[in-house]
Amino acid sequence: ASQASRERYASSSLKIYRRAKPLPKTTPQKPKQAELNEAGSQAEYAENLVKVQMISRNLHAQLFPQEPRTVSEQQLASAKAYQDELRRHGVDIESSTPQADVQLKLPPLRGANIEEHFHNIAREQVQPYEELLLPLVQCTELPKRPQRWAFFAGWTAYDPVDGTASPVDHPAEKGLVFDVEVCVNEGQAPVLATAVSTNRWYSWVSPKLTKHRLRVPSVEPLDGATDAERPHHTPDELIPLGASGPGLVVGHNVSYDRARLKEQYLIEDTGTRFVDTMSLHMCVSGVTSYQRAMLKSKKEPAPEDLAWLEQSSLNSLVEVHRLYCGGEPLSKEPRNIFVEGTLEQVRQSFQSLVNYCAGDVEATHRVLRVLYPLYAERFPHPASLAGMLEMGSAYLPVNSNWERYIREAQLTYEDLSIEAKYHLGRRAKEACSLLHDEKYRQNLWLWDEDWSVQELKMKQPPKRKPLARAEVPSNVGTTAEQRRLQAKFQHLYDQHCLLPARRPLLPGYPLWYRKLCRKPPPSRYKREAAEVLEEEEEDLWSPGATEISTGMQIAPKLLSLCWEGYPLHYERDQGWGFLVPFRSDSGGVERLPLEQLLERCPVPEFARQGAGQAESDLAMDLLSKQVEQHLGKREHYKKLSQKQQRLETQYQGSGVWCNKILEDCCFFLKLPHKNGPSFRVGNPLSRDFLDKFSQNVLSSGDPSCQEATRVVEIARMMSYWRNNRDRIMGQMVVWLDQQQLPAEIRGGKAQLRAYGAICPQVVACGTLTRRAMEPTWMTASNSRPDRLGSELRSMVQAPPGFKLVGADVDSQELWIASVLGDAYACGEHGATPLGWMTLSGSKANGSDMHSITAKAVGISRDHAKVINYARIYGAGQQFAETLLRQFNPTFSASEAKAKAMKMFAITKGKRVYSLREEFHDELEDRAYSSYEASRLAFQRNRTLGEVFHRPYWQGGTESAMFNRLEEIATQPQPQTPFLGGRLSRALEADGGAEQEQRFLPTRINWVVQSGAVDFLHLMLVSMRWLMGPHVRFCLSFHDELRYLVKEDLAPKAALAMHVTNLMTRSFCVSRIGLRDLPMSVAFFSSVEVDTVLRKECNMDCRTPSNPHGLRIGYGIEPGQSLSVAEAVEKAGGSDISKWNWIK
Amino acid sequence: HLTGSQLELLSHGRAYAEQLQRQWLSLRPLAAHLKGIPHTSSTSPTTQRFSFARTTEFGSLMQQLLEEHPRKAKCPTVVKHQSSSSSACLRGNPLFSVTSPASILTTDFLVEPDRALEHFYNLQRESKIWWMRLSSNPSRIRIVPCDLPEELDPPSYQAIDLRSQAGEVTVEQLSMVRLGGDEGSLRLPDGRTGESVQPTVIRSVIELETATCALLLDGCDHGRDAQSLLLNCALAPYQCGIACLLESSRLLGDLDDLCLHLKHVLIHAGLRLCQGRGFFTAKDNRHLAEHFAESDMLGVPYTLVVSEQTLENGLMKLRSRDTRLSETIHISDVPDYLLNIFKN
Repeated sequence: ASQASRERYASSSLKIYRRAKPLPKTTPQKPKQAELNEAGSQAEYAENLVKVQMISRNLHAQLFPQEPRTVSEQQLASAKAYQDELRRHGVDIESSTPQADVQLKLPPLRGANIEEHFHNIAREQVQPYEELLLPLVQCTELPKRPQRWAFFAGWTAYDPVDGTASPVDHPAEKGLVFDVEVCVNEGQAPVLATAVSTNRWYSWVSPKLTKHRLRVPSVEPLDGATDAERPHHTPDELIPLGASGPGLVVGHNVSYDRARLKEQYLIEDTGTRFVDTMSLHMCVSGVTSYQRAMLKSKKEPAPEDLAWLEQSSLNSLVEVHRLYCGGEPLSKEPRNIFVEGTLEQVRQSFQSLVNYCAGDVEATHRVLRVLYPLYAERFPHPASLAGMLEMGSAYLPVNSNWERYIREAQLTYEDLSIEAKYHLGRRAKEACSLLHDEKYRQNLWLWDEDWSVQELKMKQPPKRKPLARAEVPSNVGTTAEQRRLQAKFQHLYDQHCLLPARRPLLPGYPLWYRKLCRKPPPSRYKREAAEVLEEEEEDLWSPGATEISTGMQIAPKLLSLCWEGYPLHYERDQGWGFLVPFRSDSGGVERLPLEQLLERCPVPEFARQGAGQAESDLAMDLLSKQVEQHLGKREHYKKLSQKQQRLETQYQGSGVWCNKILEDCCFFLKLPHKNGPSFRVGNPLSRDFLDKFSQNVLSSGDPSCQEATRVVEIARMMSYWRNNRDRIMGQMVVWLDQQQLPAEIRGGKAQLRAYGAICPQVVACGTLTRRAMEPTWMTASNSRPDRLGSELRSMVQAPPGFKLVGADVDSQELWIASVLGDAYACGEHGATPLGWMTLSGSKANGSDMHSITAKAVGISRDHAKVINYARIYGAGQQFAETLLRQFNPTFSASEAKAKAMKMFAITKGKRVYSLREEFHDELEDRAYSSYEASRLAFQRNRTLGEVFHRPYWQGGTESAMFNRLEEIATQPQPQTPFLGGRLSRALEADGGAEQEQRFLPTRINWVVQSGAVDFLHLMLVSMRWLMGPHVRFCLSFHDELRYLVKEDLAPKAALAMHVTNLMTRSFCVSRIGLRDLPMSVAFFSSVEVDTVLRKECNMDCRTPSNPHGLRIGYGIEPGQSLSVAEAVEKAGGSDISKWNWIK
Repeated sequence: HLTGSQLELLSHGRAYAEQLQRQWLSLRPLAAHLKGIPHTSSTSPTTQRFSFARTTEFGSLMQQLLEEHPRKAKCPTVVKHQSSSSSACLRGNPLFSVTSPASILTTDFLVEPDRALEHFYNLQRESKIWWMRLSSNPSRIRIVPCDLPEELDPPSYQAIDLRSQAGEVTVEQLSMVRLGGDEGSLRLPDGRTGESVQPTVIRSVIELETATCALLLDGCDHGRDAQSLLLNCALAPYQCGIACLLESSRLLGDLDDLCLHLKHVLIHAGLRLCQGRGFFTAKDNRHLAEHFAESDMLGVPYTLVVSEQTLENGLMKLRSRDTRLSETIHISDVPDYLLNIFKN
């Protein structure tokens, strides 16, 4: 599939392998035809009651051994009803195309069924780590802290009885609570660390602190091109922990400590795993971003918030310790030395600082003792812990290209800023000439700038004494004529002393321009040169508007930018906006160039151009975060004032009415801000703004000004790098020595390259939904041609002899949501309209969910997709309205409202109430609308809940799903459907019906997203089972999973990925009561076998900083994208049970 | 001067070209400057582009390098040489052709073979930014990858053109050729390891006249309503003009003298001044405006304007081509202030 056409949802991922097994094209009689064509496929082919193709018979027999496929009379009867309902929603169940069957011999299940299987393999995987963890959890009293800490470089062990210090290579025990301290001013390398096992204390001190020489003198980086300004980390400055067998390290935000452990950077995994008390805390008591804001605020909490406030806290060790252990608050004071001090200061306070570090270790242990049992009770399935341990071992291999990438991005960035500056400077210079005849008064953008001019005035000459003789410019010439003239005008030079002591800058130029210029160095006035010149400063000065940048307020004006054709204007209290005239006689208008404004925009005419692909992509990227922020806020409905309504009939664009009128002739409308109408746009050339809106809307009002287009383009290109470079350049890369590399890489050509790795700062469960968080990598943008530096991900590159293998779970959340609805409402895959569209709809014939919604509402498919996801994440109708207007700035508020309403009616359906049994006698037993229901309840003087059952959704394609999600979400103790994990205590806390409503959208969102996290954890467990020690986990973000694997095993790993998908989905459906799996979701659409960490293996990642692409610029060939059939072929056959490492 | 699409540089243009050449010479100051050797080969430009290393010219250049600059004979190193060619050696462009002869400015970078690609990309960027700084519309300069002849494989050969004028006119060619096998037996020590390697050559070729024309065209075509030639201050053949506004003929002699004096001062300071008498006398403001228009079209960045008042207090105006505004300066600021302006 080409990059452009590939979509991340199940229905488009249908692949038909006609080469292997030709299937008939005429779909209606597919099984019969197939029977005729090939006996084998008839034996393997299966479909269910609503004609959704199920997994091949051989797979079903292996995955659901005790559940033969049978159909009862009763099921046949209900099938009719399902099919009618599907037809009613425009689904043609005959329209799907069958897929080729797959023949695989799986290793035998470890248990009677798939559920037992996963329980057993996960149990086995966590067992060695639990054996190290549980003694720590059960340890009521840690060994006594030593009286004095030894100031030795490296590890020191302390005798638990007498505290004797003895140097060791690394701690002897494998289960440790651990904490590292870093002296921030001295770089990222560790300075000291403490650890405790159940037996004794340990401390580690950096040789830098003790001023010992490193055992190995540091070598010059091999590739020579490393940027001298950026630190070059080597494993020797890190903390060794030994490389033998499973080990377990407990810490708070432990990935920070992990990044400072030496062995973590080796290409081979050492088997050490990390338990993060912060992640455990998030699982047990995590909060929404709204709640976090409340926790941070100093305000007195509202009474309804008290319940959950008692059950949660912010994430720092101090807060977490307060929550679970209480008692004296931890002191964080000594930490300041690490944050602000120098190494010398650390040396001076060595004892107290190690004690502080050890204090944190003890606190972490106390937290663990209370927190782990809570966690274990709330997350009973062993796969949850197994998944967390795996997530915490992420590993990103890099090589010299990493440095090259940073260099190139930085240089390109500088080049582009020079270019932008040049154009702006040029525009500024040109604008100066508007000073002649006050032409600026007619300029739509610059009329309100300060055009005042300063003059250079001479002082009055002293009356009595003659002026001091000024020095002659040395040697003006030699001829008599030249000397004569010099003498003749000497008196003019003498007047130099009458010049003001502080010379005005650029006398004769307008003030706004002067603000953009720098004062020339004093050498300009040679005769004043008593001051010593600073050479450097002198060199830097150049004439003209050198201080200008795209960030300045003058920039949009110089570029004559327009919004929807109206000139931009800045008002101090409202930020950026634009001018819309409402009066055509210019009487009484003094400053504003109304005539010119009317000439430009007499009748507002609005091109109905929707936003393009880029905006939908962006909205999709940000969606989960935005919805999350949105949830929990109480929705407020804006009231339209009469005046505003009047305006809206005149003006249909996206500007924000802010009750501002200029000179009684123009409305000032604010530019729309992404966070809502109450925010001000501070800079229309900033990233947030440019990303959000297409160029159609923001453009230059000066047709001759191509510079504006270019500057906007440049601003767009630079924004990604500007916002991310600090994080990217701050990545701690540890470069490996030659002897630390595997034999394959050592020697030969590879010597000319440096190899290293990054341990990303993954918080294994970083959000309420237990999704992992990582500041740089999990938010890394996909490479885009107009984003400088966005090739970031592809700079993670497998060392020679290794491959990166991985895949995206196709439309993971959509499937989870829909299968919950299917199982609940019908017990049959694809029996609800949403389910069917998810499984068998296709983009090609317009039968997938996004196409159907798009068609029904009359918007583009891309936009429909974003809004569909928003709804499933729990966003309400108002949010959809906002999105619609954002995509189509020309929709009026009412238009957007109508479309959003329609969309919700056909998807989510209507909310209806059914009577409680005791009222059946007096009222008809039917579905009542909420209006009817409240009226009836009111008439009876009862509450709604007394007369009616909980309302439910009816008549929409997604009604079944929402009913199921709400049912789960409103339970007193909601649990994830697959692994039975509980919701955070912060949201479980009982606060009555109002609280329930308040957090309901968040809880619904949690069901799906936390379900997706279960799914991921299960995949990690399954992969580990199938591949054993032969794969190393790299990274997973959202629905993506990547492993590092030796080249020869890469095809097997690819096949293992496909099988993992099959088994994980089988487990999930089994947990919710289904005993079969649709073929369309059974396997990944493709597994990527690649050398770099790009999203798709054929992306060339061309960006402004990688103009030649990966293939030409970096010599990186495209990877392979393997379907299950191709993976079987390359992995040497379909018999996986023969892989001898599988237990 | 334009005849059909045939361009010929007249005196101003040649002066401009000379400045461009000077800029080229001062770029990469550590280079070894060698005597150019006239092109004799008659092969097609495309072939020539990749086979230059096999020619005897290249051989003798390398000989020169080893003999005259033994300390620079290592990797990486830079060699510059100029030559003239009777036929244009760069591929023609669709916009115009330049009357011969052409001056060819060649820079050869001899680099370590294992880092050749990296050097090649760095040079691309360096060259691009150099042209961007010289051009009056930096956004016009682009890097255009060049298709290789089929028999050459990408790791050993790479080529790009730097083009101006919306990708139409090639101002500089960069080609990378990895020496090896039949490409001669030149070996140089690696600057880092001292190991003897066969260098990879990255050759930059600039045809002075074509590049000059392209830059001049950039300067004309800037979409402004005002007709001025936007020439880079550092390249403008005439950096400064002098004009005086004569309100009454009574002071004619004194103003002439003052202009003459300023001319001496500026020339002495090394600034390039408009030719002829060196200054212009305007009857009134309109006359002066006409003069400004003319010197704007010539691309003169600044004009000093003296008036009768100058004779009293030494204050004069410095009128800028780009802003069309005048700044007041004092006679004692001349020429240092101007020198400062032109320094960068």
